[in-house]
Amino acid sequence: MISTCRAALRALTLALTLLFSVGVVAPAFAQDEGTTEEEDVAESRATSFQAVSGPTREAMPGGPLLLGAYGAFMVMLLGYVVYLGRLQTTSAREVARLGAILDAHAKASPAPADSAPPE
Amino acid sequence: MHGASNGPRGHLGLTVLAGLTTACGLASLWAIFVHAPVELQMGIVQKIFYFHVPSAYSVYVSVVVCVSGGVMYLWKRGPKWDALAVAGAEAALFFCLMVIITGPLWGARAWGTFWVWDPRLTTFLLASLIYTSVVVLRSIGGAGEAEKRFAAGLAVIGMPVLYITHLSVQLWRGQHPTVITGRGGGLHPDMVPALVLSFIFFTLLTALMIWARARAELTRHELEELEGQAAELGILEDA
Repeated sequence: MISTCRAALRALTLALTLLFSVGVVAPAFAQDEGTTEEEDVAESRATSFQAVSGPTREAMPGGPLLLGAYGAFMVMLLGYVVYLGRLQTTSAREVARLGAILDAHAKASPAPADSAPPE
Repeated sequence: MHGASNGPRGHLGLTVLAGLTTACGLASLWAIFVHAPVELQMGIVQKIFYFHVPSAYSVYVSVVVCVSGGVMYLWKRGPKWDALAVAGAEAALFFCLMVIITGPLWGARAWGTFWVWDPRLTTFLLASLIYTSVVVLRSIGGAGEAEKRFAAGLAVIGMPVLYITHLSVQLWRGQHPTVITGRGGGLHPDMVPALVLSFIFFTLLTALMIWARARAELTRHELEELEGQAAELGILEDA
């Protein structure tokens, strides 16, 4: 049970890291200002306009992105099913074990004396 | 001390639901990759839509379950309501991650960028962080009464944020599209069966995940009660 909690904690830490990474890394991808050639510092001006070489939008093939999306879904779903299965199996096993111990203890314990001892 | 959900009938019901969900999932994959045509402008990456939108819908369903369980737990304090709240929160987190992973992958092709601080994306990220907090709190905070009540309250707070996410495309300008509208949606007729099947699949999957997780949580609650009894009898160290 403790190892399952630890595994869940690791998974959730990873999820949190992923979520926060989106927030941290996203601005780096949010704006594509194009590439600039190397220039002499004195010649570059904030108001100068540089031509963008190549396409203005990211030319990313759709196939790998599609595979990545559906693959991520399958992997996450499989991971959650495994996590649920282990949680249920471990808990049910411990319930059965503790139940057996408590039943054995109840049978072994002497019954309380309700009536007065005979003279 | 097994409830209906943990007994043999519950196990059978869960198995039947799992079988139905698997069959529907396979059917939806067939409809998406074989039946539905490729979109004209975005190309094949548009097919992410068939899992992205139902994932967002599943977030809403899971949050409603989580909040309902949380409110009922705050009111009545029964273990089954707590189990429902936990299950709903974990399912909501799962589907939130799905939306946040599939959306940027689609956006990289459709918008030319993985992320923009669009109102819908930003508010959805905020809602995701709230439900991540709920799950983390219940996972590492123990099963104390204070943690349960705080997590339930946090889940209730997250619901208005999600509602704002839903309204954001109407309230504010942004980049996120509205494909499915009150006028029927901008979908080619051959794409509709894939979307409908995906919605059915995700509905069944959400129900299955919540049921299975709630069942596991009830078993864990039962275990805690037995551990309490064993501790009272002084036999816990032998267990």
